[in-house]
Amino acid sequence: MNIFWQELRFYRKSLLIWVLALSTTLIVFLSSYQSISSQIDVFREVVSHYPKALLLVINFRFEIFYTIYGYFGYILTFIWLAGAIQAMNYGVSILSKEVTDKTADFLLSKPVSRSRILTEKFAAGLSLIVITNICFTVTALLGAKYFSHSNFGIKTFIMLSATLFFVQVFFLVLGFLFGTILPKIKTVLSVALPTVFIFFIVASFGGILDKPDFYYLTPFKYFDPVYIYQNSGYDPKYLFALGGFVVTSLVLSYIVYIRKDIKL
Amino acid sequence: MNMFWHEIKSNYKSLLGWIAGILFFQLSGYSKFQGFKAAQGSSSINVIANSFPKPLLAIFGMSNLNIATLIGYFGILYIFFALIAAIYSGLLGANIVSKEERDKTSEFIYTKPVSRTSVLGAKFFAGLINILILFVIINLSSIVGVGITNSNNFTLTGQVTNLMWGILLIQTFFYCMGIMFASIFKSPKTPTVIIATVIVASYFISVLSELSTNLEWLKYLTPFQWFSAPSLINSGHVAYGYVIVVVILSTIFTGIGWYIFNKRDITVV
Amino acid sequence: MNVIETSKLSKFYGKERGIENLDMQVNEGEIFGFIGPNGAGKSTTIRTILSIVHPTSGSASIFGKDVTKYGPEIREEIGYLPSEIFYYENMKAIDLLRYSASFYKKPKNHMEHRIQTLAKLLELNLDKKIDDLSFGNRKKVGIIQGLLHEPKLIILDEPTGGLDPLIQQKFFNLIQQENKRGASVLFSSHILGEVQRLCDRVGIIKEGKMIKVEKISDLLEKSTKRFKLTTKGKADKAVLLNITGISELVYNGNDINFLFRGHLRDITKAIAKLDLVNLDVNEPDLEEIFLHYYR
Repeated sequence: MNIFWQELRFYRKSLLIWVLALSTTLIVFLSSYQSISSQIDVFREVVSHYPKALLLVINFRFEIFYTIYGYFGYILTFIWLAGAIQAMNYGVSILSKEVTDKTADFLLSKPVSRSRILTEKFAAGLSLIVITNICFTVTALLGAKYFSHSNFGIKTFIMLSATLFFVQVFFLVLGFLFGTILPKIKTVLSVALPTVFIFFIVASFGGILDKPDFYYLTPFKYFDPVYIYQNSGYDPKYLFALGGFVVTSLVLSYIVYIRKDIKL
Repeated sequence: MNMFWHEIKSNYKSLLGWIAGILFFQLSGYSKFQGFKAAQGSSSINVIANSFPKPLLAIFGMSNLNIATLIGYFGILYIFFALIAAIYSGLLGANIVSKEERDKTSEFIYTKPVSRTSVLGAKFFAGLINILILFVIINLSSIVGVGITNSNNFTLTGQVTNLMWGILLIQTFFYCMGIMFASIFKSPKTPTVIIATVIVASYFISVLSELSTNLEWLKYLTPFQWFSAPSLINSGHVAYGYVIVVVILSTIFTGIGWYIFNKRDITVV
Repeated sequence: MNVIETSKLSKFYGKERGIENLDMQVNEGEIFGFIGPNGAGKSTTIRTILSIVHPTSGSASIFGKDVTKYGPEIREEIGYLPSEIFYYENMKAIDLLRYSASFYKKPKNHMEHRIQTLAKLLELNLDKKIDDLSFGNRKKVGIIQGLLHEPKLIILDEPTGGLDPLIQQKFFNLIQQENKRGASVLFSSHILGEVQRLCDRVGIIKEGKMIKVEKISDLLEKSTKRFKLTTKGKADKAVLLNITGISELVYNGNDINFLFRGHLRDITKAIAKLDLVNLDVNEPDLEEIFLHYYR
């Protein structure tokens, strides 16, 4: 377990910074809730005059938007974006740094198997994500309580907040896969940032273009706050997609890493 | 000029990748417009677009846009091209200077009979060329994309180009900022992280500013709002005030970068 | 003229001492050795005179020109071999060397010829990617890179690490040739034998300060030789009595062991009186002297 603890120690500072960043972003967005929700009456008035057919186009997700769930769900899109960068960063760097920092021959000459290295590193990355999410959910609950001046269902709220975890796991695993496959990654962020944004933009396009098939391509569409609110649960087909991706990537990572020549 | 060509050679493959990304989005981005256009007849789309409370428009990135028009629709796509361009430019600026220290080639290049100014200059201009090429690609592909969607009618080209100037200015802004950070910080990892944070934060602030009238003041803080699609479409040209701001700030950034780069120690191994 | 001259040169990294009030002169045409313990400030000195880092105080000049003001101009005539060689990805050796040559104002075909000649001498395949070369071969690229423009000042930082003994030989010959051609050399190394072989003078740096500068020839003269004798019968102790310059005299059966410093004529006259079966005289070794300073 020494590799595991070493990695946790190494990412301590980064974890702190990210937790603060995510919490700050959340609080900043949440603090605008009042000024936005005050407009719900205006909205209801306007919409009441719309023909039924049109209302179908809009659908009632807008009504939800004005609740704390809906607003939180909206904010989550951006939290996911930031969290994805964090997770992908971890996934890529936790492996690639052995090559960039030239510590590969140190580690690999030790009496450890490559699979143990992978397992402990992945476990460390996962732990960082878990810790981040616990802190985030707590902040979210406190923030929502403070800014919404009303009651809300904690369970549903936590379910919403937990979506961050799933999105982060996706990118952690993806980053991990990149770390095993790509020989040398000099600037982790130059790989992580564009990749995350590509998934983000595909999600936005998919939303605009209204093409549900696209949704499988990007974790940013796996979790619809409205769906979660309505069903108090996650959409199983996307959970399967996520699970499938995670398992496949991890297996692939192991296979590649155990066999490949490490660039020294 | 040898350093200039060396930089061009080192960066072109990456540029090609980004160009491919842009083209990919151009290919897929316009398909929804037909659906929006079809609804136009009933005038209900316009009514909706005009009367929706701000946040709802913001959700769809439709703030202040008349999405029934093609140019308005393109305005939705615009922010994504701006984002891609911003990320490319900011990272390029940060990396092109810091890579010598990152890759430990600093003892090679900085012991050559060239001043740090000439090294910085060669890198700066090589990067600028890359930025311009990406800009031209986004510009041309957008003109073509819009034109084809417009039933092969290219009358909107002028309006598309208006928007494109916004992208060029955003690129320049973040590029010079990236150069500055890389020139200031000794550790090669720092500038990339900072410029990425600034770009992401600028995007978030831009989103926030569209959510409510109380938050509109935020638009002064982010280039994505200085050159936002609605303002560019509605006024027909870039806001000259902001152009001046970008030019001045970019010059200041570059100047600060140049000054500090000459003064500081180069990080070796 | 002094090729390199520093005056109270100091470099502090924040609070960490790099070098402090360093005064150093390297004469034109000499090979100056630069030794000292790890962390003494050798690399800092080199980086400061190359303007990679800026001095905290004091000044340095090369060819009579201040290094901060005239950096690029000075570096036209400097060839630098760093201790660790890193180059650009995906570049072949020949590409890197040509890129390096493109910085200097010397005639292109002349430098190209130099590249080819040196590569042949050092047995380096120029068409290979630098990434694929072994450590020692990368060093060779570094050597060629530092010498291809026939600089007037050559700065070497641990240059022979990783080179096989034959190539090391060739490298030394190369440096000596350059020196004969008129180049001055600043040679930083831990391998005291090399310093002894190549250098005219040696400067010892410790804890950021230059503590001693000596001519190699002086050091050799002043040094002691170790004598090991084996006599046929029991040795006649009277022979070595009263010879000045003998120290650490040890008799062990038929073996006699001692250190001698002084005129060889005196000692050889004395031991000639002994019936010798074996005589060993050790070449003077600077290691003892240097190590004394390292402590």
